[in-house]
Amino acid sequence: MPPIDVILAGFADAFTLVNLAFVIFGVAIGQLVGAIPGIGPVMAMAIAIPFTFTLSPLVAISFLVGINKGGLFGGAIPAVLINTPGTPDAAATATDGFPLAARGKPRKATKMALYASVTGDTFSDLVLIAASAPIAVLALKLGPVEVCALMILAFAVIAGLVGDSLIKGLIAAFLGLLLSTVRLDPERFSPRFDFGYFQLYDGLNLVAVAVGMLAVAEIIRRIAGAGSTPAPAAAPQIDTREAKSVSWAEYWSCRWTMLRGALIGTALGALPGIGSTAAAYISYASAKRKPGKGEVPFGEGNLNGIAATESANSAVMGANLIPLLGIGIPGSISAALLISAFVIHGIQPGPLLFRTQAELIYGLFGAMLMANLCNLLVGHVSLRAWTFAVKAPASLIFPGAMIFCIAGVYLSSGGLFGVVIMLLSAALSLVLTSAGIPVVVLLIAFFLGRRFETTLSQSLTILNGDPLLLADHPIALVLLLLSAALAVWMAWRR
Amino acid sequence: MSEPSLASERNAGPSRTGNRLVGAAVLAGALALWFWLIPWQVDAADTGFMRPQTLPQTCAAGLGIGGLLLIAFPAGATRFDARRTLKSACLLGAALITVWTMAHLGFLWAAPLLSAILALSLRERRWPWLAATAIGLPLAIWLIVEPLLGRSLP
Repeated sequence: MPPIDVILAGFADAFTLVNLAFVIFGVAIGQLVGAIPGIGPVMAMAIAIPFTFTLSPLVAISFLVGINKGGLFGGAIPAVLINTPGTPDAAATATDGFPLAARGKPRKATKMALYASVTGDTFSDLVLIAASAPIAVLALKLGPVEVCALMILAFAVIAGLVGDSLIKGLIAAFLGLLLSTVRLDPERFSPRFDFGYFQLYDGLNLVAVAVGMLAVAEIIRRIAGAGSTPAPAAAPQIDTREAKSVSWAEYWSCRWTMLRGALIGTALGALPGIGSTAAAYISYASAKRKPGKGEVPFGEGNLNGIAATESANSAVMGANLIPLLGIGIPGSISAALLISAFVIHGIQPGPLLFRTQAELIYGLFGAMLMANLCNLLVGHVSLRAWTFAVKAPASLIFPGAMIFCIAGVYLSSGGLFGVVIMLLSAALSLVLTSAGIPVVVLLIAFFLGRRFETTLSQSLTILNGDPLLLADHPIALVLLLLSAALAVWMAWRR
Repeated sequence: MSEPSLASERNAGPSRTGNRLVGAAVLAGALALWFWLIPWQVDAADTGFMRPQTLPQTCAAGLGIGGLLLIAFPAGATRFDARRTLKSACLLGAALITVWTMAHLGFLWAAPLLSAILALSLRERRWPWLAATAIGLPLAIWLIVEPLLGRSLP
């Protein structure tokens, strides 16, 4: 654990005016893009990363965290208003949110979503703050053999859980690792897959690949499929105080639902690969019960239904950072994007951060708590404005996002070569998605590839190339056996 | 996990033939990687536990096995749509041409072109919106990057 003065200094760094301004800006952007179906916080984070170059690491990462947190709530706005979730995480929110809006209470439904989202998110952040440092201390005791085995376990879990086929997940993981080998060999410094382009000696640009696969591919997919579904109309608002707001009594009546949702979201978020969509549905299923006397049934606009889904899907965000900060393995694509933000600021995420950059980490924790408060305030003030964003024309949003991607990747990669890599990554993402191969697994494997190759090399040297010597590393052996058992179990379950 | 594959993938469905074709393509790619691309693009070394070709060959082997397994046990959804694929390819082609144009003419000339193409592809026919998208957006982004952030665009 870092000394208390470092922890306090970190929190003090977070609570500065500049940081506050960028967190508010990030939260507002996140809520806006979450409210626009088709954009979402992941795409917004991918686009924003290159523009954070000029900022200090803490401000940049706080800004990105703000976007992510804002987007978690923002996705619920179109789910409630027009029954079209802005993000996949918010799909379950529409089950009770839209019926409540259809009864003339859209603002009550969105406000409940906001309160539940902030409650779940804050709970998860507190767990992150309490758990990540002890996990990092444990992780620092692990040697390269154990870390390598842990990464293999993470690949097995993520490949098995994301998507609908373990085989396709493994194909994606191998593709991601293969893409990470495009660079100079780390031991002999001989070029690999450079095709005569010296720009590839340092590897494929992380940001270009992430923006291409996440943002550009989605923009192209949206434009190519445009015009197939007409935009639904939003329900009218009843003009009474009860229909526009959530009372303290109503909020308090959902406390157990929110706590259960936050626990489910935090537990699932801490495991790599399980997303917030799954957390939202599991929480909803656990909250669903027979309605009490005078209570609105679930599925027809019950506030507990909204509270269950929003508290769970928002709680995933903070917990996703537990494996990232504790052991250096991203639990989700947004955590993986934060890796690229750390890397472009010259910081290597992982357990060593608590030793080398403790002030930054506690600054990040402070910023996360601050972002929750900002999420609540910005959401409250801007809710009416975001309802207009739901109706924003696609012809303005998607071309704008595309030009932002080109400009951002040009800035981050320092030339048009990176932009070409971005477009090629988008093409690969489109092909893989058509084939049902999960791009998320590929990206996480790509982000971890360099570290995996290094630890594998160190492990082989330690083991002298003899796998039988694994018997001297019982933790690694257990982790490898667990990986194999999990893979077999998940394949059998499917 | 918030993978950006949204409404369009709702139509996805399991297809044994489609998955077998995917498996065959992955297997062919793995073979091409092992026998052609790795020998061509990676300097082979004979010493050490971790040679330059070790991880690429491991990946090629993993992909080959994955392809074979997918042929043998086809599972999961596939979504092939010829019209959408063609449209996506055209849009990516237009973006690549824009990048080439950008290298020769600069951002302020090329970006409006791409912006207009994308807006027209979205069936936008209203002139004020088209003007805002094609001229206003690239100009706004240029103003953010060059004068505000002090960075240069092509």
